[in-house]
Amino acid sequence: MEPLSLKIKTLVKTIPVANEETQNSILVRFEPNQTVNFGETETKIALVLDNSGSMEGQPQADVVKTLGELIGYFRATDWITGVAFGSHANTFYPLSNQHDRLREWSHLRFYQSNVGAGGTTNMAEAFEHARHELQKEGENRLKRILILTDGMPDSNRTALQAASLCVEQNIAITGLGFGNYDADFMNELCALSNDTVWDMRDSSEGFTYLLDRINAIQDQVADNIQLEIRFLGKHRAIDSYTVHPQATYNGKIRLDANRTWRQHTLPVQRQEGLEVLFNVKHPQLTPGRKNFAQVTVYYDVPSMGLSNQKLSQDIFVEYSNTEAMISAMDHEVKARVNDAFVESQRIKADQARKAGDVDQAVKLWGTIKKRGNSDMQRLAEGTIKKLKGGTLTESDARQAAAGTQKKLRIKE
Amino acid sequence: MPNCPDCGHSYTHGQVICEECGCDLSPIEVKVPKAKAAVDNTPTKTVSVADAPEYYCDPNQLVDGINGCGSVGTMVGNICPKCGGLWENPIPALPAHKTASTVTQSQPVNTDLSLAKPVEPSSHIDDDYPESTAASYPMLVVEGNQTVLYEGGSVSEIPFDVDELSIGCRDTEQGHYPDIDLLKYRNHDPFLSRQHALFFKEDDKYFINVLSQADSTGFNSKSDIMAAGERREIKTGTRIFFSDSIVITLK
Repeated sequence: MEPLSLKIKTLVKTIPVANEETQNSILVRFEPNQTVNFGETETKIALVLDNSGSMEGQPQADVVKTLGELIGYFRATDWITGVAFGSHANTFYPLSNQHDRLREWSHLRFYQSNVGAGGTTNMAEAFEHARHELQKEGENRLKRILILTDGMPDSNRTALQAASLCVEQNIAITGLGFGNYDADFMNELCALSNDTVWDMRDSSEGFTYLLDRINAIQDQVADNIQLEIRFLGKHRAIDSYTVHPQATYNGKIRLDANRTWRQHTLPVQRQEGLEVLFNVKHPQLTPGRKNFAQVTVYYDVPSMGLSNQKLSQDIFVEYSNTEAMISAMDHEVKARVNDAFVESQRIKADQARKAGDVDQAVKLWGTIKKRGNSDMQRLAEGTIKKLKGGTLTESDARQAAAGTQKKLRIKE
Repeated sequence: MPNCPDCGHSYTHGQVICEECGCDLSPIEVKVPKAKAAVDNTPTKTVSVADAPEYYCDPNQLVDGINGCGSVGTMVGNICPKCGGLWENPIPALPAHKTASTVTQSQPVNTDLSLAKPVEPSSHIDDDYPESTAASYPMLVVEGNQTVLYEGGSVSEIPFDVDELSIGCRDTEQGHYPDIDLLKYRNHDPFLSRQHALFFKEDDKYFINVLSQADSTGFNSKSDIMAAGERREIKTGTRIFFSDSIVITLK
């Protein structure tokens, strides 16, 4: 049995031939087969922790406390390294699975004493240290950098270059930010691994967020996933969203010469699966069953020593002029279309706010309130109030911008 | 190109949400009961929104923390298209509402959807259905945007259109597959049982019968624990707590 399965649904299965053009949505679900024994996923995790001047005091104490609490959640198959960065970077805990050593005071003191003088933040050097550590102890383990920061790097360009090198070596980067961190830069950084920054209210939330991310890595079964969709005939693709486990806009689809769109996706977790939504437009065609697209997924399962596995499936719609053939909408796909729509409105609202168009931002948040789930409705209500009252701080706006459904769940 | 009935923005056939105002553009589906479906092999019918029943956005009741707008019209997905209020249990519009309301016409919603080719309501919709509701069965809704495995897919809403729905964690070795599968929560929550509970319908009332011995099923709150073998009637709004993992509400 294949370790992962591919399930594809369309919003409607039948296209009326009378329409000049008909919009439809394709939901591609990629999930682990629950009957397959994936074994225990072996991981290498680098905790890259900001220790620049702004961390001095409570944030630093929170990080030390968080590290102490996290130790109990690491497994023998998790190899952990700790890197602190300020003006320079230091590996305060070399890659090891002897987690009790992390409890030793000397390591934590090393982290504490590493506060950088001069108020600079050398993030690039921290990525170099983490990459160096993660190259140790076998290649088949999942490699991940978790970076926690409250500031911005001295040089965005060098930090991004160092991070790109990590991603090229199949080391995914997850960012967690709080305080006055540079959200745009961190999103750019996380986008290298098809992720967005996780926004924390303050350093005291570090434990919850880091634990959640570590659990997600431990639960990961498939990695290095490339999704390809090839459109046949004159069927057009519009845009793509990752809709599960968290809604993220993947961008407008630009097909290559083979009318194919490729994208790297987030890793797949044991319990969650992954869902990507494509919005497409069907041209007017004669009645009959038409194969309009082919989906292919390539993936690795490191815990089973499998690489470059492939799944493929054709997608069909029925063109019909018979009223009885007009089929119902698929409710699951419709719900995902709604999630994608809410995400698109959130992005537009954030852009409007940044452009100073408060009225437009309020209008868009009003739409989010109308269509979002209860978490998004609450977030929308609060954001609208603050926008109208002119009291929306950059931190509030960032929280709203990072307000995907899953992230909100964690905060509760 | 058709236009959104709410804001006039043009949209493509097949689009289900207006990009401009978020209005629901999809046709309303009317489910035919399973017994009927077995006869004519057409499990669902599609009617245009214009043919759907009308509801009253009652200004005397709070919806989303504010009073309803008093309009009468077609609600799409339980959302009033006028004020955007989300109703858990929409109130069917009566003639009195229509005269009392400042909005006497139903919203001219979505009459130009080719996907929603109108069918004659009287001949195509099962006569057993009351006029005011599209579906005659309630839904079991998983709170907090969580999902459970049901009929092979991860879903947040399960139609209670059968006599029994078992809930628990599947056991492939024993060949035990409950209708609603909570296995994905079992790793972190040992108090979810394989045969946790049974939702069932009797004399048009809905009940839950707890099968689990784990004392982890709460009725409307976590503190009101139901014992193994205990059955209680569930009504609209009743919340069932399955350990710390999942809350399911009858809607």
